[in-house]
Amino acid sequence: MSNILELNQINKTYGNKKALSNITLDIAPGRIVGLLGSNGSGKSTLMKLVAGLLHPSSGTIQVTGKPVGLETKSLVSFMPDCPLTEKWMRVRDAIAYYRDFYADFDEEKAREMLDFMNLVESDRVRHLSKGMNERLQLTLALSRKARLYLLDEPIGGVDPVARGKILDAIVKFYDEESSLIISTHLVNDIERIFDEVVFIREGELVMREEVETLRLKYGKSVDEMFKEVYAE
Amino acid sequence: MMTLLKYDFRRNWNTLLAGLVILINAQVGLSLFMSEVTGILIGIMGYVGVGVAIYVKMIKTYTSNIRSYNRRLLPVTGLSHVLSPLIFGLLCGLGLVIIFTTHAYIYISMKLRMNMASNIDLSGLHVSDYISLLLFGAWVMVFMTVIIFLSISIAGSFRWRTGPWIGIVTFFVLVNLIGWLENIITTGRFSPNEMFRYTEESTGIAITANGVLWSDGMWVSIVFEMIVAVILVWATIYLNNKKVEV
Repeated sequence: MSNILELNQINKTYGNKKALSNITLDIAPGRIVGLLGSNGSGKSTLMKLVAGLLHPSSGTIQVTGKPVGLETKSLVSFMPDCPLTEKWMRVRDAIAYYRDFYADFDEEKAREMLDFMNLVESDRVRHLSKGMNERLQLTLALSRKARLYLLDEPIGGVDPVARGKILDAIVKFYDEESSLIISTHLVNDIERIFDEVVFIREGELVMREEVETLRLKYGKSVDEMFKEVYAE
Repeated sequence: MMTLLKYDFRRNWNTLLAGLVILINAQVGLSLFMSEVTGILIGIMGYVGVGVAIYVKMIKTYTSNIRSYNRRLLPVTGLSHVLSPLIFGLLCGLGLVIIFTTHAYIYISMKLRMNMASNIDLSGLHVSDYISLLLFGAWVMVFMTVIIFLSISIAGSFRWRTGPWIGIVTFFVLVNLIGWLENIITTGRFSPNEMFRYTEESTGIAITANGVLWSDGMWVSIVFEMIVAVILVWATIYLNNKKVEV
């Protein structure tokens, strides 16, 4: 089966600063991939490039064989590190917003997820705590029947209880025919759900390995390997 | 595009509603508590102020749309991102014109004895003249907005701090360049003063339409501006799709 995502020789610079250097990567369907790296390693830049929010300085990105653009926005569901909702919205407005714009939005699944996440439709988005807001953003992102899900730091800055709930939701509601890329530096909490991991350091891809292979070949967990790769 | 427009309105709804309430209250207050001439002058200034506020709101809506994740991730065409705030501004402007016209009609009907009204003879103007003026004003607004949108997108294409300054310089360069080209191609854009003829009569000032608005020269000018506007919109969409980053 052809790859969901293909990045070929991607470079990205901000002025003189090189954010990504020569990234070549492909993701097959049905995979949960951990995009791991310390702060400022280029994880968010990579995700924004795939989502079409940034443009590569050189190289090509294809989602299901199509170059990133208008068409791939219907195929990619991105949960960035800041809310996709607007201040005036209530939870129900956010659901309506997604329903209005995304043909693949599954409203029934969204309501089921709201229940699971203990979110109330009449709540104002701006009054939600950070943890509850993360839950809402995840609900919106995962309620689409997209081919590729990109979750940028979905558990960053939330308490352990919310983390557990968010991870449970990802496993429960993730569509297995699609692929899921999760960027994080909180490896310990999340490694249980990964099929494979990609390590990025200073904009370069330094390792890509199946989680199982990592355990068998190196005798290490993802967290242990992460600490080794990013040791200062 | 209509869905985008709907959400542009929903986002700005509270501000629009608050502005409307303040405007109506202020106009009622002026009518009740100010002298006629002062009231009219401040009242008109109030409408102009609200018009400017609507224009700024439209520009801010465009700027925030091309800079926000939740809009840039939507599977809608680049043209929709340009047209939605433009139509938002036009509809708000139309609303303001309707309120102003209603207010003016009520005021003139109720206060025919007013000195200013009795000294200005508007019988030489027909409904078509008012509509022409409105359409002309709307087109000038659309054309300027298209130039501003392009300047904002050019500014957004640069990640440096100088981006906004580049946008401002671009705006002035574009306005002057287009004006210069228009002068070469046509006989030049006419001044709005030429649209009406003011004659002093024993009873006061009579205003009549000159009929220059839809003359051959003006059509050439407007067609030229339309072609330029299409090119500018295309450039804006290109920049938004390929250069502007969030």
